[in-house]
Amino acid sequence: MAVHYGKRTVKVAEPSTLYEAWRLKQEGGAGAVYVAGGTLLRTQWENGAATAPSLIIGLDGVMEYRSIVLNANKGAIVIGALTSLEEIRRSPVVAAHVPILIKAVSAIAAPSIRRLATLGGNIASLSGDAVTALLVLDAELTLFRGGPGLEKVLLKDWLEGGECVRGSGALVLEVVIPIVQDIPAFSAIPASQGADDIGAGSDSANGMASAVQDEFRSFGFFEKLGRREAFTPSVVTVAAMGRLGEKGSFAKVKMTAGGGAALPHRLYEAERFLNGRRVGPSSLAELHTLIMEGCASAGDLFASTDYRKEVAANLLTARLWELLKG
Amino acid sequence: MLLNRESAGKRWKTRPDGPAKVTGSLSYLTDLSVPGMLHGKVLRSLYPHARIMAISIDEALKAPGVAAVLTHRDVPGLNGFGIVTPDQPVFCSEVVRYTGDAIAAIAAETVEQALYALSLIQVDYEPLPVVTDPEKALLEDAPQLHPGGNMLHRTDYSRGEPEQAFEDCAYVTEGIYYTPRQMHAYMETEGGLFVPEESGRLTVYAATQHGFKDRMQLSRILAMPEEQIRIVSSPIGGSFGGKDELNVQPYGALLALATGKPVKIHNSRRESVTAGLKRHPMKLTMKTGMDRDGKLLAHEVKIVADTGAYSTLGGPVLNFATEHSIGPYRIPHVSVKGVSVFTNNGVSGEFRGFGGNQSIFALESQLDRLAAAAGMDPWVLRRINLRERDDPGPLGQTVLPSEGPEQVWRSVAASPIWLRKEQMDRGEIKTPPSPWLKRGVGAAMTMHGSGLGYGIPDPGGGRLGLSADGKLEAAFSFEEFGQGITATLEIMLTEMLGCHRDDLRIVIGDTDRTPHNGSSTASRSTTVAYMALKDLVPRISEILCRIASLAAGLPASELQTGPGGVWHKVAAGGYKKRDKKTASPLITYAELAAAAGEAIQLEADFHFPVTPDPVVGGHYLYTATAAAVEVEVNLLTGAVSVLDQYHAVAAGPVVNPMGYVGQIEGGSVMAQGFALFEDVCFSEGVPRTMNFDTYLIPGICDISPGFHIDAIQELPQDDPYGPRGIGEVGSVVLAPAITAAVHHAVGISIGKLPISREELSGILPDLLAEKVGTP
Ligand SMILES: Cc1cc2nc3c(=O)[nH]c(=O)nc-3n(C[C@H](O)[C@H](O)[C@H](O)COP(=O)(O)OP(=O)(O)OC[C@H]3O[C@@H](n4cnc5c(N)ncnc54)[C@H](O)[C@@H]3O)c2cc1C
Repeated sequence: MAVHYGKRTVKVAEPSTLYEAWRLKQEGGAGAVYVAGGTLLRTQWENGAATAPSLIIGLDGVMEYRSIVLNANKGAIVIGALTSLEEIRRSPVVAAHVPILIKAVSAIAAPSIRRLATLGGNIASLSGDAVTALLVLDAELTLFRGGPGLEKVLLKDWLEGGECVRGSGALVLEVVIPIVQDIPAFSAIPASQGADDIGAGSDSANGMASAVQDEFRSFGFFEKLGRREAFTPSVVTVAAMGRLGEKGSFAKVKMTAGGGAALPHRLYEAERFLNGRRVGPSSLAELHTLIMEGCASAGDLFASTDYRKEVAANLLTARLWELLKG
Repeated sequence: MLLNRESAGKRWKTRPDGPAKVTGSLSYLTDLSVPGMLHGKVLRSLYPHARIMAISIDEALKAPGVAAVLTHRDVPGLNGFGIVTPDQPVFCSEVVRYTGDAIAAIAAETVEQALYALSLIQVDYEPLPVVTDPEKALLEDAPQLHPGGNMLHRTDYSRGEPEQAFEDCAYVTEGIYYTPRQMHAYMETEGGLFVPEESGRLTVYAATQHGFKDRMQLSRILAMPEEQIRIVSSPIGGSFGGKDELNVQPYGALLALATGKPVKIHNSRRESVTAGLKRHPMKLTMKTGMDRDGKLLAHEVKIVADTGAYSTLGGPVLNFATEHSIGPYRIPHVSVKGVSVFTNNGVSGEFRGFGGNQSIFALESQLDRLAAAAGMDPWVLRRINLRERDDPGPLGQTVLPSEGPEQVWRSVAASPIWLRKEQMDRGEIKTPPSPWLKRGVGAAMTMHGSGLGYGIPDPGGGRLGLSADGKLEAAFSFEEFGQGITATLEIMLTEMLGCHRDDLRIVIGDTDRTPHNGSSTASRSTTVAYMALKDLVPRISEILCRIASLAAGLPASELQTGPGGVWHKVAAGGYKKRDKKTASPLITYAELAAAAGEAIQLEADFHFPVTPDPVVGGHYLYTATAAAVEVEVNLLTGAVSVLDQYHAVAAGPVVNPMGYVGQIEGGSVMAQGFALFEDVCFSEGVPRTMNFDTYLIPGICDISPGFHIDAIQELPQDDPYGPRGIGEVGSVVLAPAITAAVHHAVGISIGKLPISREELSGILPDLLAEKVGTP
């Protein structure tokens, strides 16, 4: 058997328009790669997880997508794909409206990397830790795919749709995060919600009459388990948002899990189980099982698939238990 | 004494290399560059075990910028290295035994050119079956990695009749313990600059922990007299034992001599992980028994160490593990059998703790299991069995009388953390609010040998004098790799001579400028320095005062060395009270040097203290240490957090308080990594954790907020050896203390490190149902 090392030359292009970037990618095919912060790619190249490209398409020239804007009319925060994770972490606008995103980006890598790493790169990598939070926030992406205009697609659809939705060479330009009135921080805060909101419970197959008269407050949280306390790849990430009534019934709950190489995903069965239901100890056990069943994890050298599922279910159920305890 | 910044007071000295290290201005040897230098790169094997069918370098030779391409054909001397047995080829010619094995080396004008040329070297391999399991490697039909077979070394120690004694035991516990392949993870990867001098000599600027040993090994490889080689080996960006053996030096030296130009080599992290040493993974099988009163009667140990592809220090590491598997305990019937086995899993070698970490984890865990079985307090069990002052050492050898084990035992027994355990056991401490958080306390202890041990040359000594330019010059063949030896020498010298730090010139890590007083390993340097200076300082003081006496016309008995020069004793005594600016020495060191006419140099020369009994590897000096920790286990995830730790260390007088704290803290962080995170994963002989994104070491957020050190300084009367080494003891007892604390918290006995979170985590609803009921 003979082994040869090949000679590689890498070209760097710095397009200044979206279309040019797109065209370079289409012409270059698999050897041409968009590079934003380059933090993930750099490790992939070094680890041999991705072959070194023949053409680097720098996205820095497309600077208009580096901003955080509160669009009050649309009731949304719009974050440019080239915004660095550190900029997001320090953004008062994000802190005020989507604090779980702050929690998620703060748990990614270390300051030096967060200053280079972009939100777009985190999303395009599919398994980024921020994705678990963005998914529970119902984020929408603005994409460019060479067409005359920009396209909108829900992050959820983009992830679930596979390659046929994402296609080859789609540029992520913006992340649009709807602001839900009074959706709060990491822990529950009281909110005076009338019976109108209870309708949300009706999308549950198990909708219970007792939920209807409840006083609701919103909650939301994000949790990451890494292999050590900080500066660590994730083993498990989970996030949840929803409303909890005074009498212990849930409504409008969304839950996600991700971590490691797993694609973050919604836990639909567990959501359906919770919504409109009053939860006691036995239903927590059922919920735990549903989460484990709904969790699609990828085991590796450091943590098995079963362990990841168990931890995801533990983290979510524990936080809900704490909420119920008040 | 609780040792910290406050208690150290004025002796808390900024280390001389501190500011440059903190600001990043310090230049390491791998930062050196000279005009016209070439860059070296080494081609390492693609396979963990293969036959080399052909090596073709023709294309590489033609590549741009290439000055030399070397293979096994180009080694003028011995094509091998290894501190004990030189069985690691400089360049492999027929067989490769691990993925770090070198096949060729290239010098080119740039690193990129060197890498490109490497890619043009064509090696034809025939892969061979890979030996990954040391126990299977000992089976008859296993592929043989070396002409002498797969067994590197065996140990066999016994006393009494353990087998029979087990029958008299009221309690017997049997355990199997596994320890990980920990990586040194130094910040500075291996490398250096290799300069062929016009005189025909070769200067090597590259990290090692024993410059003279590198000189000897390189002289064998290069077929060049030792005197023709100069090794400059300090400062070093971390070593922990990992740079004691040769690494890139043979390639740098050969390329420099082949091209006649300076050559720089600096491993990437990947190259470092692939080629570098690791801690020996060990499997320890122990059977330990005691009578009804908790007296240990019998202890049987089997050790299997995975030594990887080559010998390096695998033999001595196994000796150390064997000795330390018996501990500071009186056990009448003992049998320890160890074996160190060649595999294709990288190369295992020297690493802080030197085989003690593995044995101590297993032994201390055994004692905890016995205590649990008998319903005894684990710390009381240790006290019942603790050795006494004049007892022989673990292998029955004569050792220096020591009260260390008892001192550290008492310290931990009275420590706040241990008292908290007792409160927990009485239910007096509130448990954390979340039912899935469990707290526990554990402790462990040992006595850890210093010096290389019986049967191994272990020269000590040093040089002290007055240079022609009026500096008090001290020279030792030590290296500074962060442990603080320069600070320690500076403090010892200023305190013993009464001089100012600016009066000193400390020379280390340079075979041309220092005497040969051994390696900077095995927790030996501080003791060597102390013994040398105890001899040298009175001698140099006497000479300096005599010269001063002639010049000043005062009797030498009225003079003494002090800041800036020699002082009248009265003036020196009153120095503190009077205005510092007007007080001045009678004669400055510069004037003394001028008066002397030539440099004064005094040498001390001795052997490191060694046991008189012919027990190979057995030690004579020990440092006793014990640690207590409090942990919190999160049952949602199985994650273990260390909340608080307390270390008791009986190592004689504290020479350098900041260095002492630094060594114990640093050692304990390494031990925490060993216990909770670290393991270089191999599959089929190929390392999988190639960088610090997958090989995780503890970060600042993982370190316990509480950290307390009790430095026990009292030594038995007339102890001649002064301060003992503390470079390793911070890293040897924390892991068993952590596993004991985990057991205390959740009732699970850990047999394998790093602790698997999957073994500890639970299912939340079960936890809630058991413990808390309805929310
Ligand atoms: C040491 C280290 C630690 C890390 N820790 C974490 C962690 O804890 N959690 C975590 O989630 N990640 C972590 N990462 C991964 C990485 O830093 C983040 O995912 C980061 O957000 C990626 O952003 P980037 O701009 O650097 O992406 P790049 O590396 O530039 O690109 C990543 C991928 O996205 C594509 N891409 C980038 N931008 C766009 C775009 N606008 N449109 C379409 N495709 C695009 C690229 O082609 C590439 O395939 C870590 C990385 C390192 C090196």
